[in-house]
Amino acid sequence: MPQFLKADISIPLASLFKLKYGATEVIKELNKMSMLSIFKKEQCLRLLDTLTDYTISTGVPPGAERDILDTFFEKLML
Amino acid sequence: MDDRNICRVLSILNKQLKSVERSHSNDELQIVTQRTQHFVDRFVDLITRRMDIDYATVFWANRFLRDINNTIKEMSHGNHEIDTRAFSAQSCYIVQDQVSTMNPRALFASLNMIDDPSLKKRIMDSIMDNLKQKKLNIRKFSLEQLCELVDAVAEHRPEDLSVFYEYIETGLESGFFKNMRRLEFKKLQKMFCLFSDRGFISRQGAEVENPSKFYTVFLLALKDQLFDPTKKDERIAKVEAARNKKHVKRNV
Repeated sequence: MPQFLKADISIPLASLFKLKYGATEVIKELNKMSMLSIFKKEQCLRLLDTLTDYTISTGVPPGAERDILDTFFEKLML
Repeated sequence: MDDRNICRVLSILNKQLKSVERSHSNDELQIVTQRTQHFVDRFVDLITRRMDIDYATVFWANRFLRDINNTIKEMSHGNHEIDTRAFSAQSCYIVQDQVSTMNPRALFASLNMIDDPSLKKRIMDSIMDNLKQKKLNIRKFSLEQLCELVDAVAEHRPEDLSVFYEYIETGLESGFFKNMRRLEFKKLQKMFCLFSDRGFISRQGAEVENPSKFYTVFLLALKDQLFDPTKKDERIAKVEAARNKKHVKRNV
């Protein structure tokens, strides 16, 4: 787990969203992870940016993605 | 959060607003408005604390903010709006401070990003001061960019217009503006109208007997506009081609 937290997980996740791959499981896991404080502000921004692009391009109805966006925004506003 | 990150957040909010525009959700609109205002206030706070913020960041933040504000106003029918007065004033200070390091393109982009005429005048004053102190090199401006500058000077600092007229005259005489042919005629026309309205080119006086270089250049550009030799050749070629076709048909 510490190894996992040390690595910047936001980069591969952002790459997946850029490739328009947002599997439900990935979104679910990210939703859980976003509640934890493993993401720094820079990483939040990276994910926020790519996830926004992903939701706009795929036109998915706001669900878990919306919760993730809200959580990241809250973190950035602190 | 630093200035670049706030600018990035504004760009994200701008994108989000586009999807809110599609869904027509009032709640979401309010959330985006509140978030934008929060980050704008933070940017203002950041600028007041440190002045070493890059003008490019300020420029992009202004651009995103303008887009966001326009969309919010449009969607809420003018009921909601972001308060950008402090941000505009602070970004004006940043631009004023960094005028000497900017290239002409960035200079005009920064000048156009601000709507408030008094702030625009402040930037113009700073540009003029930097030009006078030779911190800003006027030789970096092409004739086309000079047209734009002259336009702004006429609006905000009309007393300095004569300096520009003389500079353009001298530049044309010494052959400094070699890209003359590529110049857009409309801009030249605008500058000509401006100078003639302000009395630099008069109808009765010396222009007829001893025309200035600018006057001659404008006349030649006008001639090209009215009687474009290349277009005429094309027309003649078309007529000749049509005639040849007729001849061929008759012979057949």
